[in-house]
Amino acid sequence: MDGSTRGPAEVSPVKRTDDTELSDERDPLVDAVDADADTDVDPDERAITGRACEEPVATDGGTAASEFDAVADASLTDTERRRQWVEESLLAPARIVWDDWRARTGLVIVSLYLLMGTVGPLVVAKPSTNQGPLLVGAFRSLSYPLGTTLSGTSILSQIVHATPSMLIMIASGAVFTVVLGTTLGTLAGYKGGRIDSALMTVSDVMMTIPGLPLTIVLAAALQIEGNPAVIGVLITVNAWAGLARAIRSQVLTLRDAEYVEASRIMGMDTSTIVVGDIVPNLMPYITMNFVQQARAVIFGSVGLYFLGVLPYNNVNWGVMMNAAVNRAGATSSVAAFHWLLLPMVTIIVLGLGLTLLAQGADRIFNPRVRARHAETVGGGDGEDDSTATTGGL
Amino acid sequence: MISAAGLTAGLAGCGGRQATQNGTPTDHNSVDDSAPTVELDDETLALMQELAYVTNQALPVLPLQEKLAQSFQTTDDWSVPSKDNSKMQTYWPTDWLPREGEWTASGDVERLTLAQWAVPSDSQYNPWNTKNFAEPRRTLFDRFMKYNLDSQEYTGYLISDWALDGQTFTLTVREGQTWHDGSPATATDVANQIKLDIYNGGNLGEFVAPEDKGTVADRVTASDERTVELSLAGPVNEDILLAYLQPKYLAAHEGTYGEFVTRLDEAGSDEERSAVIGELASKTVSDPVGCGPFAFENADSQRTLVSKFEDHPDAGNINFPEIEYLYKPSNQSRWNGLINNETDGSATLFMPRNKLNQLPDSVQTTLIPRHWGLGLLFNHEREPVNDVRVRKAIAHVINRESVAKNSGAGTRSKIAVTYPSGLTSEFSNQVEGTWLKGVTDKFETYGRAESQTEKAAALLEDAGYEKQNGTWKKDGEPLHIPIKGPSGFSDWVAGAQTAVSQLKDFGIKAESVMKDSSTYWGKDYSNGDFVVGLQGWASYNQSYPYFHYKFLYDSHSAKNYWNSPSEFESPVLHDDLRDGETVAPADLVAQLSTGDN
Repeated sequence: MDGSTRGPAEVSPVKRTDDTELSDERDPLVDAVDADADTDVDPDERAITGRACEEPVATDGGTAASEFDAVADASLTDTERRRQWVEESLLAPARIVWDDWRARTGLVIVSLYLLMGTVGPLVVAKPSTNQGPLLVGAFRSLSYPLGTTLSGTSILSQIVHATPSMLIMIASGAVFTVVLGTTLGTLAGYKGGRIDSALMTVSDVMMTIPGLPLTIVLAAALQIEGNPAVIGVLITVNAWAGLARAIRSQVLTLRDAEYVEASRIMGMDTSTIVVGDIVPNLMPYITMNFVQQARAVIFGSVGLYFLGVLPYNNVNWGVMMNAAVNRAGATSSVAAFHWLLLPMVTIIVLGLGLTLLAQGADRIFNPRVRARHAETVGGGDGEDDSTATTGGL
Repeated sequence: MISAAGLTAGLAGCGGRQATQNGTPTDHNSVDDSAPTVELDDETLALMQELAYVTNQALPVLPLQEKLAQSFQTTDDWSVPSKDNSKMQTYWPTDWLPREGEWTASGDVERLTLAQWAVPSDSQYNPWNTKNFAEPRRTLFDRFMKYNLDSQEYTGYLISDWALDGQTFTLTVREGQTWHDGSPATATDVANQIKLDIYNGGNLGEFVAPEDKGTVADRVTASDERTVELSLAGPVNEDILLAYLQPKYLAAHEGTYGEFVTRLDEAGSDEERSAVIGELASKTVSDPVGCGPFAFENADSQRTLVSKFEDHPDAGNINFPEIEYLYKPSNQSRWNGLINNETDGSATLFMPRNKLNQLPDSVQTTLIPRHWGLGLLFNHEREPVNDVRVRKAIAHVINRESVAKNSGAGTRSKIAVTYPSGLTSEFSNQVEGTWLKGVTDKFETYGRAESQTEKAAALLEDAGYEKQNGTWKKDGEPLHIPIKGPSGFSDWVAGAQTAVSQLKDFGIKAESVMKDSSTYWGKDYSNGDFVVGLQGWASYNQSYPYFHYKFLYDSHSAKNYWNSPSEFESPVLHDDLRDGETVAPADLVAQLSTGDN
């Protein structure tokens, strides 16, 4: 999506180089200078002039067309455009990620959790009581490798079968916060005036409400019956306000940037400007926040489940820890400690993976790092190893 | 009152965090293997059996397990009877053993250390203000009577003697009882205690002043210094009267509550009375004048200290000067207190096997029958459990032995119910040996230690369900059984999850929905917002079967929370008691209360 909006701006230098190579003596800019000097110039040779915007100009394509069309027509077929998009949006970020050990580790970890949440429940048996003897320790038996609980339920089964609902919860909470925060923040920052003050008043009010007690009260008052998507939203119920405020101030600095002003003068409508010019510049910040919210949802939900204030109808890492402590006193019992430790490790590792991924995301959206990787891709069609050599820099 | 009992039942839980230890010593049974004998006339027994049979056939609730409370005593510095001694079979050893000279200091120790749930400085000792009536009440106040679990006889304590003569019940107060401020505890105080209980909706009111509370002052009177007379409104079974009187603590000190008694006695209308009751309920007494063997000293944020009261008749039996109650608000902190030798005992506390293994050898664990336990409560106005065939199918599928095993967490403290009938005392074989003697073959066991899936399948098919792709469905909709419960009651959660696993294996779409304990009791349970809920299946405070059936068929909870219908369809056991399949169990319960004994 952002490939289409960002594409021309960044790729054009690369492609211009190609053009120059293909048509040696036809540097449009040079020709244009020539044209000004010599009135008797062939129309084909006339390129950029002071009238470029109003009149058709000649290109190396031969026929009359606008300057904007010219570059695209000359250099990109549909296939190329598609390939370029792939390079731009997928390969370059992937390479950036792969070059950075933190992002790489984060990506591997998060992928493993996604796998655990999708394939895992199909492979690992459902948790049920009396799968084995009571309180078997971890790594003692192959049939329940992570041990069992006080009811003889396999801890591995519980951890794996808790993953899908945890992922749903994390995603719903993070999406809710980021979508609401970004929309309202951008709107307030770009529009200003009454809309701004109205939205910011609402978000200030939301920010002053303490989130945790609000969540606890809402969890008790609403009929949510343990639906993970709803609980995800509930935990981040007022987190969007902080994000909206931060995004608004970012937008305030961007709205008067030259290129935004240019778009405005050209008469583009607000939504195009916001989506095309402003939001892409905020993407690093938004992505960071997405990941951070995901972490906040995990820690928040686990904390609240541990305290026993959220309703649940399924296995859940926080509930496992709660059960370990309340039913078996796992904090001071060697026999039951694995029951507390393993879900805790599961949560910590996921939290770590998301943190690392967030740091990597910063690099993905850093234009300089990204451009360097894209350039390597574009110029190095024939030389595969160039990626490897330049990539590490 | 019953509703309050239900709520307390909830709050106490079997091992839940918020347990309040409201236990009362009214049990009939010890853990002996031989079934104790109970003297019952044929008619009373037949009525009980009929009610048991209706319960067994109509399943308003499904009793799963019965509880044995674990009680702990340290033996290194203290001399206590061994855990098998029948003296331990009381509610609770911490109440009675020190008074009887059975719990004495053997080493060089200054004070006995116990635990309490509520913050000591926030605790108060007005029994009619239901909040934070904390554990020191056990030694600050004296109980009316004591119940001997072996001989199944009531023994006098604060009420040293009593007699039921027609419709007059006479109580005699023990000699030498003194309040901690030095004034004698007299029959007037005992009468005040009974009156305040009745004004507050206590169960005795039903027998003393069923119609008009304005007559209470005339019906409960102190005829001299040591004699209280209750004029009953009709014939009443003495066992029931004693069961209601026995657990009371004498707390109605004249200087503290006298004005309330006077205003209530003189009140002209129900409105006036409820205004006074409201005032009484909001009164907090943080520095009580008691009548027990220990007097209140002080309380801070961490402990309550009480010291021996030399003028108590039993003071000579006690050889240590103080008891302290430490603030231990959770099971874990109590487990650790016992493990680290910080506390010297616990009246009742659920402790799983792995923690029991950590206890030092000097701590002994006594099992005390609790006549109560986890059951599945059906909401009779919600699909699909309003159909008795579905309830029976659930009963057949659930393996109660396995539920009890998981709920007990490796201890022997939970026993699966053999005959789901509303009768307690599984541990002493009394259900088969006494209550259901000779009729047990008529009763359905629903498979105590197995999942009887074939029988369950037949019942569901009869009810219009069909098994498709491993799931039971009716009109394309899967049979969905959500089981709601309080998440803080960890042993219940373990039991419920076991039941859910078994139902799922059978193809019923069951799920356990666990809510914050106070939300569950305060909202879901009391609004009847559940299909299947977790709740104790017997009366929390009593053991005599009458009280269990009253709770199941004629209580506020039954009518309002789980929407129990007034009539059930059930086959007949004794055809001289009933005609036709339709039965109103509440009527049978009422007959049981008036039976003469």
